[in-house]
Amino acid sequence: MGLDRRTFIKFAAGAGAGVMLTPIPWKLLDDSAIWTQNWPWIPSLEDGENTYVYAFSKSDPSIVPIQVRKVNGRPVRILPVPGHPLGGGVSALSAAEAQMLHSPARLRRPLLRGQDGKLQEISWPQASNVLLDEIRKAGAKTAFISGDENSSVIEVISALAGALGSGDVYLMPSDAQDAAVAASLAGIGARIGYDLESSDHVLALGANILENWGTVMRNRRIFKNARPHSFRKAGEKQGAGAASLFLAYAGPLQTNTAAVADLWLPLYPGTESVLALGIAHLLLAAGKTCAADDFDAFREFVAGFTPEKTAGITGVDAAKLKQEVEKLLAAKSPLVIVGSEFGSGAGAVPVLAGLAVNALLGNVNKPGGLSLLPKSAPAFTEAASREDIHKKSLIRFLAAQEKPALLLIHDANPVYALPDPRKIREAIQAVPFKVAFNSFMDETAALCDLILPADMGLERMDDVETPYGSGKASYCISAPATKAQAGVLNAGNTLLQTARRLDKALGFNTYEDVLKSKAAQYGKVGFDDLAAGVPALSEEKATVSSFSFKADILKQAPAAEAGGGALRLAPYVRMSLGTAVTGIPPYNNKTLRADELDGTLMSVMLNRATAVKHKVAAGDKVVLEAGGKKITAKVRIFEGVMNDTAGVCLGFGHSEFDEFSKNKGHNVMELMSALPEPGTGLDLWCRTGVDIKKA
Amino acid sequence: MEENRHSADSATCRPKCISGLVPFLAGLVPALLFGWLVFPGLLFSKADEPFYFSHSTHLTKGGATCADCHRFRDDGSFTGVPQRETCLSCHDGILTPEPGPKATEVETAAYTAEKTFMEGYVKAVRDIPWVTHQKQPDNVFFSHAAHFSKCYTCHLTMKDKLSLGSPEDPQKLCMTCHPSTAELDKGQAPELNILTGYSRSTLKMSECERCHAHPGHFYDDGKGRTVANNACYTCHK
Repeated sequence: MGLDRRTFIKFAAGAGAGVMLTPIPWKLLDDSAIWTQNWPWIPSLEDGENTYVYAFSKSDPSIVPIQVRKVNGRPVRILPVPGHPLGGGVSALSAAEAQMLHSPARLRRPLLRGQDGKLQEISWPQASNVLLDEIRKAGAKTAFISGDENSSVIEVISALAGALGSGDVYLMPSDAQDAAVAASLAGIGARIGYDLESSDHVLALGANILENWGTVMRNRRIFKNARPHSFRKAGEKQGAGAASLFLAYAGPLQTNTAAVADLWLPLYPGTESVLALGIAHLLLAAGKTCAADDFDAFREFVAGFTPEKTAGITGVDAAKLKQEVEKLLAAKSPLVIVGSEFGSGAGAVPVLAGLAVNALLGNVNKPGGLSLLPKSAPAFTEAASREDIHKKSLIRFLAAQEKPALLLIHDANPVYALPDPRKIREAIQAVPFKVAFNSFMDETAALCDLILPADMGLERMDDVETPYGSGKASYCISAPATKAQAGVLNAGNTLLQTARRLDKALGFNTYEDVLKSKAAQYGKVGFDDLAAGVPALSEEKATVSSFSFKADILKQAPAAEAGGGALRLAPYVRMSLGTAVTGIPPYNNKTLRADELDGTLMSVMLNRATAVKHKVAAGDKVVLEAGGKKITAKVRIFEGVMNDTAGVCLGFGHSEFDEFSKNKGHNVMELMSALPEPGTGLDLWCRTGVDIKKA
Repeated sequence: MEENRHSADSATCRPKCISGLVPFLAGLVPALLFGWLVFPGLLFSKADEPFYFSHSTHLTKGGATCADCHRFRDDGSFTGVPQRETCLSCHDGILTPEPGPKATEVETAAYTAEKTFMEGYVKAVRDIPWVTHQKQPDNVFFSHAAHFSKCYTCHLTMKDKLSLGSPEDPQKLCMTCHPSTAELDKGQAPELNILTGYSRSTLKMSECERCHAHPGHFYDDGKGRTVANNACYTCHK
């Protein structure tokens, strides 16, 4: 039997049949199908070694301590730092930090506006030279705006301004600014802190403490720890452990804070100061007193704020108010926190009124009460203190006829975040040369002549000094979790280098040297430990020799009514929708419900009685109008809204950033106008009246 | 004549047929042997664990249960592959005695493994790069929490039909999808498919469909949903 053609065919047929009777063809076919799921261009998870870095979410205004989980050196996930005095969890915004590093809206190259009015990419050496030339030309007529009130960059900026002979350094309006001005007016000379940890009764007036006021994640941790819960056994009213904190909230909307509070007192927007004065009236009636310079004048003034009058202005039921004051009087460590409903625009008067109530409760510098925290000294001799910078109103500066020759804007988006954005835009456009030092292309950067791409919080070493809302003075370092992306630089280092090139060296070569100098003030914890995530805490409290209620300034509180309009506007903040400087983080779009944003149409929340009164119904497309400015929205009926009040969400209406932020509703700031707050030097925009009609 | 020719043909045909089968069988048999015995070995490569680990030793000698290391949070979600902290809750030092001259292979391996763990990972503060036996592809979303709650909802009351264990002793439910510990100890090193990169124990979609496409799971749960939804988006987000 030789190997002829026929034998070979038989052999091949046998081999073929054999192969078909084995897993070879079927397994290869199946595996090939799976293999095609793994084309190199399909994004896939990268495996590798896990490492962790302690840092802070600088994008979240509540400054969240975080652990950054890295795989092969690449940040992939944000985790909480359990037990950290400033945190304990992650917020929706801080959770997006790792993702935002790769945001399509990130600035990656310096941009210069050319003769044709278009922005063109330039190199960093070119950008540095342009900046240097413009500062040389403007000299003392250089002005600075920063949105970062917690880090030492503001000191670098202030020192550079001082070296140039300019006093025009401004911070974006915030609760911290209102508190700093109130403390200064009251003659306290210290930072205001809140010892939530030891309090057994917290009354938050306007301050949305579990969403956007103060150290939010710390507040949430304290609330959680004070409210142990477990599965309830049959017959039990509550699970294991009794609540050690009673939380009451007064505000126009059933926010996240109101939703979990033991008591929600609905009130008209912007009337928190009146409610505080009504509480002061009841406390005085209960025999409470306080050693203040103008106590008699205050008592005489507050005598008029009977529960009935207070109820008439604020809408808070007089009986409920009395009950709440009784609870405050019965509490061991009561604490009253007054703040803006949406993070800015309430002015200093509400905080002054809150100071008065806390002083009457006798809880100042007591456990669980209002803490007076020592101020820290700036690292630079030429730099103004943060408190002094806070005293100046950015809105009044921008509204002034005389404009600076050069405006340098750092980590801030005033064109979006300030009331009446059209006017702010015009004011900034009138400045001959504008520079933005930003991480993202936002509405303000888009107006600027030179855009310098800044590193993000996870890419830089930075510090956090006693964020507003804390109960203790603290200093923390945020270590860089990853290398900065190509094309972006650190704002602190760039400004220090610019000062050197101007022959105005500020005494530090690098921003890290500034942080080391600041860390030395806190002594107990070394720089290396700080950089490894160990916080430096101080138990020190400031003592106050004299205190004033500032009755003359408080007298303005009841005068302030909603500025016309059938409804009062109650804007609210959802931190998952980002801030003016971050835009909406891409994945956080998932947190938007269909009844909050329908396509590009945002919602306005009314309660049913208000809707009926104004002849609108759920789903109606309506126009909200204030002072000739209009926005369109869709009516959503929600009973968690005060009567005659329209609840609208901030964070929509971006015209810049990326597809995840643009073309979504309107910026509610368009409806608001700033009014001067007499006697404080600040402005307020929390009392806007609006008309509503069907579109 | 015809008859004779026929008998002659039959006589010559038998050897011819046999000789015709030989080349066919010469092709068939080696192909079958190659396909069943050699090919599976060629398709998979072995990936070594960072150090020796025996599930059986932990369960028998160590007295551990599955849940001691493979933990679930209160909400039922899986905490992931155990890491240093989990091991350190028992291994606060090297527990295995230093092997003497008569030590068995397993004792020596256990001691070496513990030493490597302490020095290479605990002291060096490094995550242990375990090679997992079952890692689902990136395009599959799997929730332990959903399976624990949903499967038990019905199967705890179906003792006479099909039992998946009980929440107090969930091992039987685990073994519905995961390899048994005995199987894991047989081949210490996970075997990775050289074409796909996935381990041999990775669940195929057909395994998922044993439940998800089971006709008994199609009935409505009273809320307009099937009890084990087989829609694409259930697993592929």
